[in-house]
Amino acid sequence: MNSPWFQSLVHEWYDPLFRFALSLCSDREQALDLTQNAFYKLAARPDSLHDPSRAKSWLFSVVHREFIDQYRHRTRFPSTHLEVVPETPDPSANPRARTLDREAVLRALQALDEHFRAPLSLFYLQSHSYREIATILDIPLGTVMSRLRRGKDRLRALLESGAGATPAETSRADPLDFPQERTGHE
Amino acid sequence: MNKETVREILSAYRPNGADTDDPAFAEALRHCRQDPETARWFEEELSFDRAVVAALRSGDSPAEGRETVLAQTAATLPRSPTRRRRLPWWGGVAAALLLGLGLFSILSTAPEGTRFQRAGFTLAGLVEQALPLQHEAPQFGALASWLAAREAPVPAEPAGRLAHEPTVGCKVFADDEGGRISLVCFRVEGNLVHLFTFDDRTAGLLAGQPRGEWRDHDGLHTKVFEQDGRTYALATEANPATLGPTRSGEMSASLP
Repeated sequence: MNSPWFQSLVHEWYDPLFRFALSLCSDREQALDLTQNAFYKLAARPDSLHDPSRAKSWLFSVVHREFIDQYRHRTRFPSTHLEVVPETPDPSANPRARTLDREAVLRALQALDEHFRAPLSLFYLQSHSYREIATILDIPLGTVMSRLRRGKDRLRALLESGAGATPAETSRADPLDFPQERTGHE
Repeated sequence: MNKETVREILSAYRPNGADTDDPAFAEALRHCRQDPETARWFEEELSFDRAVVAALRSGDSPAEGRETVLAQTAATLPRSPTRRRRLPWWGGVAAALLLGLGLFSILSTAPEGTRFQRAGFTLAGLVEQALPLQHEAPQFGALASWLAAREAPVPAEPAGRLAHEPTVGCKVFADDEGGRISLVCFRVEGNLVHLFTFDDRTAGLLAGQPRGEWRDHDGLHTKVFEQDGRTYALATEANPATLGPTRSGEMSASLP
């Protein structure tokens, strides 16, 4: 039987970790593998985590590093595969009022350089402050902000160029009327 | 702060409002309220961010994966690791010698609970010994009963944020003079938060420490406070701001 500590980690962070992995690789099976492996590593060698209060950051760092290793391997040993052709952009789409399709967002994330993809993926989980993102990715705080800014601009450009935005009327809340939900992770 | 800097900072502001209380965003948000153009840009930014969040959240979650992890790791008995630092080789030898020399006296005289030293006492040192916990349970009440049964100081029931977070476990520290410190460990957003409760004999160990303010010790955030004549200390490596200003009731005045 697992300890309550490990069980609570799995219950609390499995889904966010999987979504992070999926945002990185855009492949469900690979994302499952990345997520499972992170927990297996922790289970096999819990003492590799020098500070248990940093388990969350440790797990996300492991997924990121593992993805980078696989990414580099694929870059060195590329394989040919069929890609889904993006939908033709809808010229009537209003980028300011929309809903976004998940596959389109994942596809757009894949089109970004990994330097932007990883911080954006963590940011959109909403589980991590920019300080925690800096820790997980081992980059300076200023770099996190810079990559988020530039990454969002590129992501927006990709989506608005037709990677999946569909027009829909959405309510426009007062930007300074911040939502009160403080759920930590979604 | 120019507009470009404001935008770069606010690009890191999470659309669920989790950063509302982070002082790093305060000036940029103030600027935003005073500048209509930046406010419009921020409105668009938040709208876009929320759409991306909703899209990424819309997929199904692999529940079977979670169960597989739990099932396949059950045999490995992963337990919470001890926070530790690497020692040089001579440190290991010295530690082994000290352990050997002290083992007899500890076994023969130590009261129930992990031994702690008054000489050179620090909260950071106590945190170093926090894990493994002696008793694990997800409810505060169960831990309080366990502590009370061992005549360890029992903390007041937490209010506010900690009242809504699961506990991980607890522990008792004791010394040869009969002093005791109890520890209740909470998990807040994946981070451990240690609540230490000192009895009358151990409260003096914190006599020189300021009350009611967070202090940073090489990444460990600690806060000493008093309530109902009892001395408490919180310690965590999480950003204290993540604990949030959500407390109510009497304990709220003391917790961060």
